[in-house]
Amino acid sequence: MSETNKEAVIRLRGVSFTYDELPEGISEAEARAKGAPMAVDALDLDIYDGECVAVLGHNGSGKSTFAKLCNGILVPDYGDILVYGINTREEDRLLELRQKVGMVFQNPDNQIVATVVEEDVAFGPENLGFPPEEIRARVDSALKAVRMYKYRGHEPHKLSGGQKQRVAIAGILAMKPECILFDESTAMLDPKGRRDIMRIIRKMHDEMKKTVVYITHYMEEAALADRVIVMENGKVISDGTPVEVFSDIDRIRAVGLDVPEATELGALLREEGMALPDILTTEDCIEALANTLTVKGA
Amino acid sequence: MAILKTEHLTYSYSTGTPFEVTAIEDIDLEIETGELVAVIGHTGSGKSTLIQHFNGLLKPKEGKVYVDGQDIWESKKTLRASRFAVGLCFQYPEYQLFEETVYKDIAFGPKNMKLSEEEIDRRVREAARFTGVPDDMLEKSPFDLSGGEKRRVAIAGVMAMEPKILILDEPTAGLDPKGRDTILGLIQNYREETGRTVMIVSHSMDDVAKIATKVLVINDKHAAMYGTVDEIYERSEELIAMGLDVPQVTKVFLGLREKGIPVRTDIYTVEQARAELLDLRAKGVVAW
Repeated sequence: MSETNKEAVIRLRGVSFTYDELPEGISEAEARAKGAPMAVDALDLDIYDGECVAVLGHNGSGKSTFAKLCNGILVPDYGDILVYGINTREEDRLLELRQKVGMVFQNPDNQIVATVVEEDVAFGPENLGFPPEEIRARVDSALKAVRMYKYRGHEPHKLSGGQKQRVAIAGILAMKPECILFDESTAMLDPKGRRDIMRIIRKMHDEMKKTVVYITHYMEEAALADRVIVMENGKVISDGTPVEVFSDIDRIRAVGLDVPEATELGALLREEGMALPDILTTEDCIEALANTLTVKGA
Repeated sequence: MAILKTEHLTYSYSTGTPFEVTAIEDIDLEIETGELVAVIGHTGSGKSTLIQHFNGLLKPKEGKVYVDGQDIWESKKTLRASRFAVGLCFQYPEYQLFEETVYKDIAFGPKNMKLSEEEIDRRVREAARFTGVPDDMLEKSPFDLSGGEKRRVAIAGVMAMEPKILILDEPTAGLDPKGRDTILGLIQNYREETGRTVMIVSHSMDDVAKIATKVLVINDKHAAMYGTVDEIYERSEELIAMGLDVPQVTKVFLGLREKGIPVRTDIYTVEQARAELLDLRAKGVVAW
């Protein structure tokens, strides 16, 4: 499903990438003939301005490689990626690209560089050479957006995983990117930390009007997106609204993923003759069942 | 007899300084041989502090720890014995691999136990079998493996010590559903084949309920609940109040009850949920 009235801000055309070392100048056909495993395989994909997209897939499906390609951390072996009009092959425009597209990683411990929270958040804007007042303003507003302002003088290593991840997000926000990529940024957090990060992701989309792409293998998190892309063997095998994607339970299961339990329960009960609408979240499920069930004698 | 017992176990960090914080308080536990115990608690509840007492990594401020009837702090000898009797596999154990080959890494623990070469070999191969590590992987460098493979090798290293109690801290953290099911499956198989006691630490009831025989809930420094999976789920509202994650279907059924639909609330699988609604319809309580 594509929002044709919107501009595609990330465009992948025939993108293939392998982690194998390829001989210089080898053609794509030759590389394939040699059996080079393609982590991302002839991918055509558009991410549109203002979308909130979840990318699902099991470990090794190519979803993290996809994210790293979008940010120019990896460069395609074949095909091209245009990010806000910048081809990721243009090395001299990488800095410009990274200001447009920020990335938050999985491990909160690997993303903190300073010994005080606010200095960590200032790291990006300082490197961009902004005047001190501008840096101060950006740091404060970024820390407030992730509700970490009162921790601005703290030492990052004493924060919880979820709090560290919020600091990492503030560091990206302080660069004022158009788009933020989250590469399994909730995977190492506890349930509360995960909920906090998901709330911030939605806020960045809904209120701050950023384009947001997050990679996850938690189905309940994917259900919160406007668009879900499922990857398998470096290709997109399903792309649509959460309802469209999760309605095909067998297909999701076949690639080693789960559907949300609420969706699965809905499907089982429809087989038992219940007339239920589409169900994605806990709240959907309670409401649908409460509307459908009649209690006798009540 | 209980394989693991604690009496009035209490521990605090930074003892004797103005920053003293009590991490666990007055914990009494008795865990029977052969149980697969899920230890549940949110971050900061004290669960990691608790498990580090079971093999003497932390010394209780007050109270006792008995492994197989032996007070582990009685002497240096009993303390050393507890390190072999209780195998602790930390979170993200794959970061702790360091040997040249997978074989050497798995053999590291048994070697420290001063076992014979044949016995070490037998244990390495058995642990490799339990964790699904194929023979040809044993000669590889651990650093050439995928994340999931590394984690299985790290778990094998602890299993190879044949501890009376195997404790795994968040063994499925960061894994996708398939990886999670693989790890839980091999742990369940290990326990069934060996009959040894296993404890899995987690902050999600969801994951571990599928394989656990008992659940220990740690909340606010105390052992809040200990019982079978069904017994704990009967108290799912308390679990939510403690900030613990319960399965989505459990939340759905709690929500239905709140809306006046007389469903049971100790439901934790989709199949149970379906059965409960069909049962209520058969009894004429609800209709659709």
